[in-house]
Order: sequence, then structure tokens, then C-alpha cells
Amino acid sequence: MAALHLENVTKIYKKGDNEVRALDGVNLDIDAGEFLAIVGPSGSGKTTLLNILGCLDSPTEGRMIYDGQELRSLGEKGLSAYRRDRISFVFQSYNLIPVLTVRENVELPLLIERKIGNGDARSRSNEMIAAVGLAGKENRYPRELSGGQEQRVAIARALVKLPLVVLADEPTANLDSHTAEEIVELMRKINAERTTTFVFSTHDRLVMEHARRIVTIRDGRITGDERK
Amino acid sequence: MGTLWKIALRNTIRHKRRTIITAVVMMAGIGTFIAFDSILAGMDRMAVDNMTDYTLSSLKVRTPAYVDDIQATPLDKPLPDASRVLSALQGRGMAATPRIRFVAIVSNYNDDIPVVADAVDPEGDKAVFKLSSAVISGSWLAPGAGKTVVMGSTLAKELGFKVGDSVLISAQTVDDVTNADEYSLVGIVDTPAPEVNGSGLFMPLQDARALLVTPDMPGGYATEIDASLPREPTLNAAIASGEKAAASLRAALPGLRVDPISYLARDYLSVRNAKAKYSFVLIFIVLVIAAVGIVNTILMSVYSRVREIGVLRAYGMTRRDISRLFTLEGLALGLIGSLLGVALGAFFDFIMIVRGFSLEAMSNSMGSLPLSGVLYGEWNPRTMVTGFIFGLVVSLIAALVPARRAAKLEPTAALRFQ
Repeated sequence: MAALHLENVTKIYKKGDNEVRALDGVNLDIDAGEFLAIVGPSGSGKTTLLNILGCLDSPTEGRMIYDGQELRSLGEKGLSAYRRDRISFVFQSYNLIPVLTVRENVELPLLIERKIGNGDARSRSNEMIAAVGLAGKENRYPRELSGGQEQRVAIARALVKLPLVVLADEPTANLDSHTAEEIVELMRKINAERTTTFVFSTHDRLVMEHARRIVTIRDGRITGDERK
Repeated sequence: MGTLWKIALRNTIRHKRRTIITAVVMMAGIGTFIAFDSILAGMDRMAVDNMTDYTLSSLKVRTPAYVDDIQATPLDKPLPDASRVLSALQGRGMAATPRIRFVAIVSNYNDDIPVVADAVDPEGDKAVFKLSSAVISGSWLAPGAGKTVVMGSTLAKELGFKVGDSVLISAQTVDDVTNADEYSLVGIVDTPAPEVNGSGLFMPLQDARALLVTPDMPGGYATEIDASLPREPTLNAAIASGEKAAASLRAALPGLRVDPISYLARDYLSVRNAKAKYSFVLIFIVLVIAAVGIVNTILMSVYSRVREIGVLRAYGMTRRDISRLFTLEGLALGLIGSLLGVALGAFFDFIMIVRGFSLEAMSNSMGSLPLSGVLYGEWNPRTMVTGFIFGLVVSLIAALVPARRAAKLEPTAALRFQ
């Protein structure tokens, strides 16, 4: 069975008297270890699909099964716990916590998860910071880093808790092409080494070139699903 | 919780201007409260000390019938055995002296003024009261000097007396017959107690006994015995020590009434308790203003960190965690403001305790309050703890509103926030 299974997922937003159908009967299976790009024009439903995959939002209709568990029955607390334990995010504008150092930002998911002690959290964070090529910058604050370095920290933060899936919303949109290339390479490497599932929403050709599967979405419907 | 504290504290430090403004308001509120309390305590101490030293003494022993009829200053209800009372008091290490209080009319042969006079033991009185050191003209009464009086400065001025003048004093005797005699004014006193200055008249016991034609009594005729207790560091300690001494004496002097300063100065002390309530209202108002500042500061913090809230929620923080984060930020602000407030208050207390504040320039505006000289503050650790805790509680309550607002943010909306 697929690691992530979406069945006839529909998301309707209400704007005044109007209804906006952001997702319309989406069926999607994502296997463990996939490196998948969701592409489509602005407003096509990419971010809504990522939010639903990330349990940040619930579908109006349809079923979601993650790792064999039906998510509809989980309430607010249950979804928080599910995100905490199995899902990580990489955001377009990095969204690091400005008052925390690089190490503290990377440690944060482990401290929220509270599964391991502070000492283990620190050593695992250091390993991850080294893995993304930022060894020696553990005590820097985000304002002291370049955009590419910030995104590396965001990736280290996403991976440190060994999640089932990493959801990345336009992860290279704010980076120059050289840095973007490095970041995509880094994610591919981690995907290969750790079999972590990566799902991106992107407009970036570079990301699409590296993706092993491209799902195209338009007007809330999946219109293409290409495996390389 | 450690991570939440870390984020909360660092945000508090990072937004220096917001933190400083809020903390300064809190500091002003709590510092004012502590300073105000110190001044009030110092004023109370000064007022009660002055009453003890010039009018009331620390403790009085009288007959119950005398106290019941005290408005009439009766002469037919004296102590049955003054010497027994004196030895009971002196046996407990207290200085004690007999007095007779009586209504007299003081005249300069043209004008007269009714007063409540005190007949005193000229030497023994010095051990209990400080009147002898408040003489500004002439001298204090001397034993066996013969028909002499000392009077308050305002009374002397109103009747145009100066030291050496003859004073005509009339009074009702014990048998209710009017008697009068002429006395020589040997001294004028000016004390911090306005009632002594305005109507104080003092004469030796033997002259008063002759004027009032009192009967012979064991230990000599006296309506009261006044005693002094060792000085305590605070007013509350003085009140407690007086009550303890009174309780012990009551057992030793059955049939007599023993009243400590908490009873003798009860009117003043009840006003003091009301003042304490006003000071609490004052801090409450200032801290409500500070609370509005805290609400604003944390709301600003919430709005400037909406995306951060989205990230924390995305990584699995619950609404409760987010609420806690901003509540802790309010608590951190409260902690800084309260600590600074206590420090400011303690600094003011220190200045007031070491250097004091002269009331000379304000002597005309003190009215009938027994206050003059240098006012010193008093340490009150309880006020500091109250101010500190109150500051924390107010900031905690103030933080709840913005913390709830932060917790209500949907993660998807928070992450989209620009």
C-alpha cells in the first residue's frame, strides 16, 4: 500500500456567497521514498494539496490514509500529533525562528516531539547541520546567513526528526540558480540515502528536471502524472 | 517548556524598545507602590512615636470606671493603689509614672481658655515622656519648686504668657467645688503633637492634689499610671509588644484596665488601615495601565510573528503550546518590570531610611497630625513581595488575551500571512 493515499479529495473554500473549489476529486498515491514535484499554474491548487498532505488543512470531502491510518477521524490535537511525529515542511521563505541559533532552529522539531533527551537532540542536530554543509555555523543566527544557507538550515530542520514525508512549498523560489541547484542536489542526496519521501510544489524547471515523478494540477484536478 | 521559555525570553530581549516601555510602566507602578508604602509606614511610625512620647505613652493603667467615663475626666474614679501598679510595671522592667488628668481653666485675668491639664511627677515623667526635652523657653518642672506650671507654645501665645508670668488656674475639686490658685509659668514646650502645643498644661502632682483637694490614697492620688516600653524596629512590632505586655499585666493587676498603644491610638490606626487600602487602589490603577501596555506589546509580538506561529503549528505545536508561548512572554515582561519595580522601590526606601525627608517646610499643612521633624521610611519586605507578585499576576492576566488570539490562528492562514 502507498505511504500516502488520497481518495476523491475535495476542498471547498467559501468566500462570501461564493464557493471556490480549490481541489476537486483528487486521487493520488505516493510511495515511500518518492521524489515528487507538483506543478501547475498559480491558483491551480498546489498549495492547498500540500496543506492537505501536510495535515495543516482538512479536506471537505474524500479520504486520506497515511501510513495505513485514516486521518478523517483525528481531531485538532490528533492532527498536531500526526504532523509532529511524521511530517516536515520546507517553506519558500525558509521561516526560521529569528531568535534561535542555527542549532536551536534545527533542534526545534525534536524538542517539540519530546521523544529524545536534550543531549541526543543536540548531537543529532549537529549531524544534520554537518550533512547540509553548515558545520561551524551552529551558533549563528538566521540574520547572519545567506538565503541559500537559511534554506539549508530549513532542510536540516525538516529532516532532523526522520519524518515519513517532507513537504516543500516552492523551496527554490527565493534562491539564485546556483544555490537552487545545490539545494535540489542536497535533497536528492538525502532522498537517496534515507529514503525520505519528498513532495514539492514548484514552478522551477530545475526541480522538475530532478524530480522522478511530476504530478500536474490544474483547476483543482490532477491532469497529468508522469514518472521518469 | 524550556524551548518555549527560550523563545519567549529571547523575543522579549530582541524587541528592546517594546520591552523597555512596558517594563518602565510596570517599574513606575510597583516602585511607586513600595515607596508610597514606605512613606506611609514612616509617617505612621512618626505619628505613633510622637503620640507615645508626648501625649499617650506606650501603655496606660486606669480603673475600668474611669475609662468608661473618660469624656468627663472624672476625679472620683482614681486608682485604688498607685504604688501597687507602679511596682508591677517597674518589676517588668518598664519605666512608669503616675498622672492626674483634670479639666482646668487657664486665665491671664482678662481671657481664659479651658484645657485638660496633666499633673505629673516632674522627675518620673522624664522616663516615660519627652516633654522635658521639648522646652523652648524656661525649664521643665522641678520637684518641690512650689506652684509652678509648664504650658504648650500655642496656648502661651494665645494668652500672651511668657516664662515668669503668673497664671491663674481654676478647677473643680474632687468634691465638685470650684477652686483656684496662682502659679508661676516656668517653661513653655513646643512638641510635634499639636494638641500639647494648643492646650497642654502641666503641673507637679503635689500642686494638683492641693488644687483638686484629693483624698489620701495608697501610693498617692492618681487617675492613671503611664508606662513606656523599649523601642521596637517597626510599628507593627511595637503594637505586638504593647499587646503582649498588656496581656501579662492584666493578669497581675486584676480589677484594673491595661490599655496598650493599639487601643490608645485606635482612631489614628483605623485611619492608617484605610490609607493602606488607598495605596493598594493606587498600585492597582497604575498596574492596570501597565496591563494595557502588556496587552499591546504582546499583541504586537503576535502580529509580527504570525508566520512563526504557522511554522510552530506545522511542526506539531498545539494551540495550547502557542498560547503558553505568548503567556510566557507576558510573564517574562512582568518578571522584568516587577524586578525593576522592586529595585526602584528598594532604592527609594534606602534613601528614605538613610537620609529621611524633612517635614519642616510642610509643618503648616500637617494640620492636627502629630508629624514634624525628619520623616524616615521603613523597610517592608511584605510590600515588596506583594508588589512583585501583583506585577506578575497582572502581566499574566494581560497576556492571556493576545495569547488566546495567537492560539486561534489557523496554521495555513498564518503561513500565508505577509
